[in-house]
Amino acid sequence: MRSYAGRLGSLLPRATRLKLDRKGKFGAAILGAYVLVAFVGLYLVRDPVQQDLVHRLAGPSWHHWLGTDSLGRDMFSRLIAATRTDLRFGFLAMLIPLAIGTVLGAVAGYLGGIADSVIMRLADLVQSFPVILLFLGVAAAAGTTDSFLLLGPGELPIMIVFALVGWVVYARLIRSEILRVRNMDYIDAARGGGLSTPRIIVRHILPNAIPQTVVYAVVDVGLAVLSLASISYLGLGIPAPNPEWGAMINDGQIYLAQQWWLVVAPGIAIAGLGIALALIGDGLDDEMRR
Amino acid sequence: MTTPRLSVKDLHVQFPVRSGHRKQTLRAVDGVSVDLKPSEILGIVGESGCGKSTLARVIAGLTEPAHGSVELDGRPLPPRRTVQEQRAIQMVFQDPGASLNPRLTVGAVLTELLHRHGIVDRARERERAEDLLRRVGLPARAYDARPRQLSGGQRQRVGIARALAVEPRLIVADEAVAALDVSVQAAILNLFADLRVSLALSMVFISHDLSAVQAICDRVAVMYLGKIVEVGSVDELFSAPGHPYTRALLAASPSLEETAAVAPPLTGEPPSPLRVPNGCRFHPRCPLAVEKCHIAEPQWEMQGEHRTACHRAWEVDDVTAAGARHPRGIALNP
Repeated sequence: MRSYAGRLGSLLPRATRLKLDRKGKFGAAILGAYVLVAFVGLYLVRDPVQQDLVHRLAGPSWHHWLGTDSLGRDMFSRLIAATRTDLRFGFLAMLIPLAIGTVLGAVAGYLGGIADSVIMRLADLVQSFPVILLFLGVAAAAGTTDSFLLLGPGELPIMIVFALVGWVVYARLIRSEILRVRNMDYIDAARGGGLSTPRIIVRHILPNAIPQTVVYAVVDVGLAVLSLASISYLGLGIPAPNPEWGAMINDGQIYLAQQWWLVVAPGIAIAGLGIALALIGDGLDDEMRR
Repeated sequence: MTTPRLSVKDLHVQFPVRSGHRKQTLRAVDGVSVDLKPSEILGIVGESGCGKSTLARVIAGLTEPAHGSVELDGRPLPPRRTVQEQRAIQMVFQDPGASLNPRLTVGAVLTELLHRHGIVDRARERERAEDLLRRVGLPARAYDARPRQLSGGQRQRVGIARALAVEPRLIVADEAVAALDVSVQAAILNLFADLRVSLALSMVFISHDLSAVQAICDRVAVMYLGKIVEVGSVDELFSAPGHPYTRALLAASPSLEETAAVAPPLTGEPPSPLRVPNGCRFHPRCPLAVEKCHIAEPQWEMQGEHRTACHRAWEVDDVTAAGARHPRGIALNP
């Protein structure tokens, strides 16, 4: 009897079990640093929301490595604290739509017919809707919601919008991959061998349909962080005073001429994460093409 | 007379085709009846698009027929088969690159089937799978290999092992050697020949390669545009072909020896199965076609076990003569 973990392993797409190439490893190392910072960084720095109006907009010094912002909060501490918020949000904003989209895409692709039509028209509908309106709509609610499970204060309504919109890409990806895979001879061979439909889907279709989606999902974490930063920059994101990279750029932009590091530091943080994830995604993609 | 292992009766397979607003019906298999005795290898030959593969898929239970039945050992199989019925007929596919799941090891593919049908308990599954691999001429260590680590010929051997794993009563090999190198083709054909002796294998061997069919089959059925036009033993059919289409196929097949009947090569494409010609469906391309070929569908002409659906069956001498007179024949061989 094989172990349960062993069985789970065989269901995982090969991509998640493969070694990465050099650039992929480089990306993984950067991501690892971010994750480390997200987990332990908060315990090593000062209180990121502690205001000190006497020392506002101070320049970088031994005491304040990246200076202070307009309310005298230590920028370095805020940058570190924001890592946890953005990373956690980014991964959840990938995982939740991934889960919804995989199920809907698999149903649409495998069943076809009416189920396919309904799900895909729904996808068209969602895609044609201006997302920024949704964010405007939930912005008011965001200020008053508390923490919810893994989500911090004010994050739940934003995450709901991400889930509502984000599943579409995954559903389309999974659906088209399933349509490709289900016509392969090995699916006929599995049917001819008398295997059950659930087993064919789980063991023969999904493992071959999912890898492309995994590549996209990795990059999507970066896109989600970028989106969160963008809406925070517009003032529709995670409410103050909790630090978040996009909101920090928004706060700092009016001081760009004098205290440019207030904008550049969170900008570099976002870009670095995006590059790391893109490198990993690219590395996985190359590895799977082999 | 023994019950045939496989008996296909008046099988029709149709596919709806929509071109713009017009709905048409593609008659891929259009009334095929053929029998297969136990431990016999029946070859089915014909040009691309004649319905060979569709016939294979129906026999293997992967496509539902519109009409007609497939009987195994005298018992008709329903269109939707039970697991046991599905198991009884196994298919070997053409493209060994596409017929193996790239994510699974060879061992996983085989043991999955062994479990499904309760053939061996888990303790002995590896032993059994390695037996199967040895039987098809692969080393036991292939058990842990993934398809991409194997060559085309090795993959096809895995495909054969997979078909044998569930102990089927019949194997349908659909162009099983067409995608392989010539030397590998010979090795796989030898494997089929060996298995037939050691396992008393019954097999439908579908191919467009007449020399492959001649090498391993007992009987051959020639298919044209969804219908069987000639059936006979390999010896009879190759030495005294009754149907002008069979003669044309034999003439077109490259061979080192002189073929018994010389016929002009066929010209043009077979007609579309969307618009099957009236009368004999071969008449537009037939060098022997006469008036009644345009009107009446030919009935079987028998010479013992050898039968031909042609109004002018076995008019061998005329063929050569007619071929010479035939305008297309002249154009090709001035």
